[in-house]
Amino acid sequence: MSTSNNTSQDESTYFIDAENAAEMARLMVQDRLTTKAMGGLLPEQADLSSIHDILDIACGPGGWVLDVAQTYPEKQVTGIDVSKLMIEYAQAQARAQGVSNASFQVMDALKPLAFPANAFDLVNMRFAVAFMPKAGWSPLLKEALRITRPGGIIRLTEFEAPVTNSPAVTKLASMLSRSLWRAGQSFSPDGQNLGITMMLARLLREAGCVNVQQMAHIMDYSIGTEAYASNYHNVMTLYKLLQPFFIKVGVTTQEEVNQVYHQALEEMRSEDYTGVIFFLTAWGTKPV
Amino acid sequence: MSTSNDASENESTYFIDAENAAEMARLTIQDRLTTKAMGGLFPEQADLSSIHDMLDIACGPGGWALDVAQAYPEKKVTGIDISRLMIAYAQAQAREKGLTNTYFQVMDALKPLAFADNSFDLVNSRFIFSFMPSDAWPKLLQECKRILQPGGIIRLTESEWYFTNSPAYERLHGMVTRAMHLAGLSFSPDGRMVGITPVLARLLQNAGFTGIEERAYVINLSAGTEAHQGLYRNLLAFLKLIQPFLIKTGVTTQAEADNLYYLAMDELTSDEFCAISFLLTAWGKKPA
Repeated sequence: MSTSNNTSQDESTYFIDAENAAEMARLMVQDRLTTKAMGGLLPEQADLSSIHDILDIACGPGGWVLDVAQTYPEKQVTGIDVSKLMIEYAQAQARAQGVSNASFQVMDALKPLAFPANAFDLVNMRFAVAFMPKAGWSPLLKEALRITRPGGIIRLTEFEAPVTNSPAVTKLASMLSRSLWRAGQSFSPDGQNLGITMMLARLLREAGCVNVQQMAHIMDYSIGTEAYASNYHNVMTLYKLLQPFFIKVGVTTQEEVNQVYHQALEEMRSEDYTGVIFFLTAWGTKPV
Repeated sequence: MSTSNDASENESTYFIDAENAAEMARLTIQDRLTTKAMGGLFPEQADLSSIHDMLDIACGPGGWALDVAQAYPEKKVTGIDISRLMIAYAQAQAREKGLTNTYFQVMDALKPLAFADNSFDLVNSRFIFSFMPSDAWPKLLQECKRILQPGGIIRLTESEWYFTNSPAYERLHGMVTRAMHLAGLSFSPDGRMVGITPVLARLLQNAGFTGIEERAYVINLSAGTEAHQGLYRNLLAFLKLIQPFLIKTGVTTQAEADNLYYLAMDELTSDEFCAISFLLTAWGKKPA
């Protein structure tokens, strides 16, 4: 979920400062919300018996990795992220929870991955849209295929912008879509949508995966739902942290975004507030 | 899927002429694509043993009702639609297939339904956003509750339409959602989306249904998929049939709409074309 190139070399493509504690806390919440909305860690994989080594790319603070490691103590789970802060936190969490089958490494998903060929049975990545330039998908998926064993699985989960009846949340979501588009991280022709879900199957196939399949999930975070409170905090943090990105790419001004942000928080507390997010998981197999 | 008031009284709210053979053919394709993508006629209902009488609201040419009747010869399926053409076609189809457990009637979903209280065990509707003024939903759902048996199920399937990488299609899509917004057929705060998915569960809840659940589905309609050909034929008809509505609501001119239509149809046939559609089914029960 977070990545950046070495800051001494060039600028990070991640839309928020990856070494930020508030962002880390937000990602923990988002990890949990997502897994819950999807009904599990690997809900579309009926048979995990041949899967032993699992990699999570851009693992952030390690929520998914730690949950998988705890649920399947016989499997070995590795998480990589560009952020030292996230990786140190994930390592500390693994120690605190006594999880011995999870390991974490600082590694940049936009560079060749420091793993040998055929090292994993399953490679997972969620929400790479936050840091992935359009042109970065193809090299990364080729790397993912290289380090996956023949017959192994690559699975990607992305989302489309929330659909909501709140005008201000809709505005913020639109700012995000347009900002990613301006930053070269969107396949949408006009930046009106995040524009990544429609591409996932194609990208997997082009990288050489076979038997590509897809499954949709919905997160309903309307007021009164279980997800509401967590999502409220997620939105509150996300759109605070995203403001520098929005302003840098020129889709808004500080004054405008402040006003929309506060209006969004207010509208999210209204008793008729509704919103959903569609997630898409696409997965494919490395040919045997 | 199609409705209109008696043309002599007032204008139809359906955005395409409901008595149109091209529209009927389009709806037939759409029915088939939808059932296939969802993996069944009611994939979320584990136990159909207590369901005997079913109603499909705005059944169009009867695709869903006919399929259900064929799959479950012991159950009775009624379909209603405002369009005489659609209902006559559905009746002819039923005769041709030798089905004796289907009943089709011309009826307007925007008026009180001519069924007795507690008549059905399940009420179904798919994609009725195309004719439902946003303020008509509560009334229709009250009617559904009245004609359902206590413990009976209501299930609504709606969509946010397509996310694509075709610039011309995206512009037309934006025009359609804006026109719907202007015509009062949208829950979107800014007319960029259809905006129906986030409010489905809320509408059921407000109507007094309980045990509300939601499930998402995805259709990939990119070049090279099985669904692509269906989408092409669907949009070939739809984007032409919708033109009078777009012009009437003032979101475009005939010349611009024609130009975008040809561009979009061209982009749809490109090997690079990617498209995806998310569907949401929300269902609940009438309290026993």
